[in-house]
Amino acid sequence: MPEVSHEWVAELKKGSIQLCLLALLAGEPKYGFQLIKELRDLSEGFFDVKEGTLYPALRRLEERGFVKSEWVEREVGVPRKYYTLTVHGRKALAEAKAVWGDMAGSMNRILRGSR
Amino acid sequence: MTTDDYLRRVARGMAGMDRRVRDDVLRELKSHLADAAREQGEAQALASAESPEAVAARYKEMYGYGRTYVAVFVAIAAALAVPTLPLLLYDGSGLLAFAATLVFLLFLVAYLMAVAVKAGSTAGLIAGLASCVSRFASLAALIAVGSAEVRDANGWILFTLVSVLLIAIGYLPGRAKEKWRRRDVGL
Repeated sequence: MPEVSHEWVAELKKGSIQLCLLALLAGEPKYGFQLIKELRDLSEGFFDVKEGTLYPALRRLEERGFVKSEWVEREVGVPRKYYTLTVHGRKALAEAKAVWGDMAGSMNRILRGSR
Repeated sequence: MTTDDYLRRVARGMAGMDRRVRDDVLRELKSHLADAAREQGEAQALASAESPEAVAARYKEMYGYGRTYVAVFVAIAAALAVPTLPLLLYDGSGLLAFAATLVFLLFLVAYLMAVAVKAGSTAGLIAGLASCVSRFASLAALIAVGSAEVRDANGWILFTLVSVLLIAIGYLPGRAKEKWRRRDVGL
């Protein structure tokens, strides 16, 4: 049985998910299922996000003005909703990346000392 | 269970939400499940999805009730406030009438608290305001037709105090729930 609680790991993931989404949307527009796959593949399974978590997170980002969405009709298959990073979102991503870099650096220095 | 069954259960769980938001959520879930089904097959896509009730509950918590529902809650609060007029202030009323008034008042308080908790502090505040205004309007109407009179200043003070308290009762429980609820910390 692991010593670290499942809740703590879940909180860490939950706290990082919005930054991950902004980073993934920094390139071209993407739809939900694509984001879930990319999150899982790039994190090697660490971020295995369900639709009940992803879409509300995207909506919160949209409410904050960090992303915007657009329904795109397709010749075959159901329409998809694509998300794009806004200028505001791009600034937020840059700021959040800087904070993350500081935190990761600090944590690594502290954790190195615990060896 | 099919995708349509799944979406129907999500829709049922989101009853009362703004129709536009609800339709958009369902459309997006349908799109997601279609993509997942193309890759894994419908049965596996649905098996690996979260329960429709859990998904609906998350959106319901996020968006709350739509305007139509809130308007109905407010109208009911205004209607329930009418029989809470303090009958003792009128000529010819007795202890029984006062007891009945108290029962109606307690019922209104319970209703306002339920609205605040279920539909949020804003809906609760509006419902509280509506019941307050409804009490003053009803009393004014009764005075105008000569069916009631407020005997003294204490009567006015008590009436005003109870009416204003209804606003606080409509607002505070919902506010407390929102304050103490564990919220997702976003960017």
